[in-house]
Amino acid sequence: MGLPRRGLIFAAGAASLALAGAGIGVAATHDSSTTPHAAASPSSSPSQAPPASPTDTPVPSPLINDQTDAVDNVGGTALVQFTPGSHLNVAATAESPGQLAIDPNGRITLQVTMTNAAGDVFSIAGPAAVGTETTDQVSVLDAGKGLTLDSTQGDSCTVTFNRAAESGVQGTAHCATQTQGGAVTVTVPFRLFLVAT
Amino acid sequence: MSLRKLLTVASVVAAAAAVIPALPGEAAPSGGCPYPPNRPVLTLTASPSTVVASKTLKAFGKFTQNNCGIGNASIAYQRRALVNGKPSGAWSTMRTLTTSSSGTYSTGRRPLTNEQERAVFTHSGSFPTTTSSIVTVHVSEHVSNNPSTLSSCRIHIAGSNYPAKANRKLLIQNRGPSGHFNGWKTLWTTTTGSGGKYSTTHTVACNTTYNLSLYTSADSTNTAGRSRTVFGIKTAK
Repeated sequence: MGLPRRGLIFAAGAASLALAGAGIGVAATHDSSTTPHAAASPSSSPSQAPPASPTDTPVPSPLINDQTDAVDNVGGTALVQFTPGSHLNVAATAESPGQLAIDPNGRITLQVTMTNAAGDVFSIAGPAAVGTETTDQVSVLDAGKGLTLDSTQGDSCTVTFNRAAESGVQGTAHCATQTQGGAVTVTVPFRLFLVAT
Repeated sequence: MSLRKLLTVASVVAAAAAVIPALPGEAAPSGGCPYPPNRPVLTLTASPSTVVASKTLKAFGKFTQNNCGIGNASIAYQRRALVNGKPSGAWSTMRTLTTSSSGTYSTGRRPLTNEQERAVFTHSGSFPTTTSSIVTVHVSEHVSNNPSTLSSCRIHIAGSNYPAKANRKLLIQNRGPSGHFNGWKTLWTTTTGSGGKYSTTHTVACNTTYNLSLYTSADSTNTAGRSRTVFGIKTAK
């Protein structure tokens, strides 16, 4: 080793700091856990969450009730706009349609994933009624910029619907997320329509 | 060699061994922001959460530390079966994906049965083993619906289910016209045969318009499925 003693001591200290940086602290958000064999740091690895057993994870019900609801295939388009930043277009086609369900009381539920050739994704799932919905699940992947957004994992989203009928839905999703470069707002006007499959 | 020197060298060796466990020829992940010393976060989004068998599920996520992407990291994309709504068996890796320089990864696939999914990064470089949250993917049975009208006010429907399953009960149901749905009414039933195929003919009311869909209830490995609705089937004598 060509490093003088001070260099060695500094390198060891830096390595230890790096290890501590990687190993100390609990999962930053609820969506991350550590497996029992993580053992990241030889110095300390406190506060590791216990591993989840198979029965620990509740299994949610499907969003759409196929038994009672009428389910239509829908296509659509969306413009995903980033502020600051650019925009991208995605679509759901007849080959890979979304679903629009309506229950006997006229309540509409959506489950649509739109993509493009670049691998970008916009997805919306949940109730649709004229006005503002806060419970819809919205996710976005901008593959080129490396931006992901998921309202089920801490990002905030609301969806404003200005049309919600069995024949079609129109609205705008508004989301905010944090990136390495700072806060980004994402606005996604979208339109869905019935497709024959 | 003095005790101090020995301790210093030993700590460097120990740190290097822990920091660089990557296999020979395998590039270690890089990126992330080490301060403050928070653990990395691995996310997984699977969309849609209920997918019709034969349709594409998109899965994507990001591996970050303090919102800084960790690139060149190997992510094991894993599944575990759900049987009767409960996890069954061990996790198995479907694909190994590599994060982009910004820490993202994505893939697409066509699942056949209900399952749970997760993403796992195994300790490499300076980053500890990190596991995403578990997401549930419901897969509904695909039922095709190809009706035709016959003489004497009969409707013939043939099709199949997917994944192909025999002895599945199908309910042939009628609804109001598009925009006027007020529930389903079962007109008759049939059962799938070998290869999940079915073929059924039924006499219905004459000079009536039907809007038909087929429904099959959930079983141990798939959620309930509903075919497309075919509108405007008019019967005649």
